[in-house]
Amino acid sequence: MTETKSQRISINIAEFAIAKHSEIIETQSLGSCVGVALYDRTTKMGGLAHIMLPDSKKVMVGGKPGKYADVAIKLMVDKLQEAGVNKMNLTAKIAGGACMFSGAGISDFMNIGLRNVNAIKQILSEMKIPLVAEDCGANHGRTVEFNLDSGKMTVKSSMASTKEI
Amino acid sequence: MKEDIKTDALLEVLNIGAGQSATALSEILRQKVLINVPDLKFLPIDKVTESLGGAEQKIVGIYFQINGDITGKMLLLFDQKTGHMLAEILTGDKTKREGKLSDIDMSAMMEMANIIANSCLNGLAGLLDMRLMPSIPYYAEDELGAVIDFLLIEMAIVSELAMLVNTEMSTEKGNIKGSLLVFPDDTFMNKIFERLELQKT
Repeated sequence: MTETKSQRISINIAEFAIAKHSEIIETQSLGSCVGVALYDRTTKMGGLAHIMLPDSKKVMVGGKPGKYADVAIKLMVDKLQEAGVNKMNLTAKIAGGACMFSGAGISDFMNIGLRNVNAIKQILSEMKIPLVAEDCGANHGRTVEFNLDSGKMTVKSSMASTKEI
Repeated sequence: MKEDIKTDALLEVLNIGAGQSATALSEILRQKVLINVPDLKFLPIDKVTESLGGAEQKIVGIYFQINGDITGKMLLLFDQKTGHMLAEILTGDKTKREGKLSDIDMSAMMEMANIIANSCLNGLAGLLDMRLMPSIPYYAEDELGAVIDFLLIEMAIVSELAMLVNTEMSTEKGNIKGSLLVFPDDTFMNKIFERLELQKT
């Protein structure tokens, strides 16, 4: 049996994608943004979103659905269910949410990364999707690759060593 | 077209501000610093990183909020190599720099950025007879996409589109190049235009 090369799907800021076995979804340079991966190990299907903001209800404008944690997570779950995934099987992994800048006084407004991470955890818990791994916070950017074969998320950084979660 | 007149006014004013910044930088470096004509971009927020050359390039960025009669954000960007060269010039410490800059280098860079930002805003304030001041500087060194997403997030709360004005600065020798980026808030351009109209009468 020959091994087929994994197909790569790249998502930009404020986008999301769902994928299946043998595919990899990647997104570049998350700073305060957060990458949220959902995975069902029984069907080897899942999704990844590059989220900018916690809550679509607290802003004045719409925009791409992947922009907001509440919208993106719900849409990924819907699309995975349409594709035959049982919601009860889903688990989540998240990476990003850094505080990129340092200065004399980093006030709360600078730490949108932390607010994003907290909101995502809250949404996942409300949707009863267990968060099984995370690599969040600190002050470095992250590029993530989510492998649908293994359900592993590879987290790379120019400023820190590569991690697999 | 009224909008064209407004953008011309914005670019004219920022050109003068950037000129003041270039003068300040040339005094610090004791080298002539040239600027190009400011380039105005008005584009979807998710296209900003691409328009600046892509997410993966390693950069040093110093960020300021613009406070006072007009508000916005300012980001001074250097590629990482240039940032490290500047740190060497500023501190006089010629030790080879690898990875992130040290705290001493960082504070030298922030001090330099402070002077550049203040020169620009003082130039604008004088011209427009406005009160303008930068926040304290915030420093980041990483991939451009990771550094700039904080600014994009702040803009994404109020708009789908980002307005930015990029002025490139470089020394005559070409060894040091950087970008002075101004992200005007939505009332910025109108306020400048109104003030200039008022000054005519």
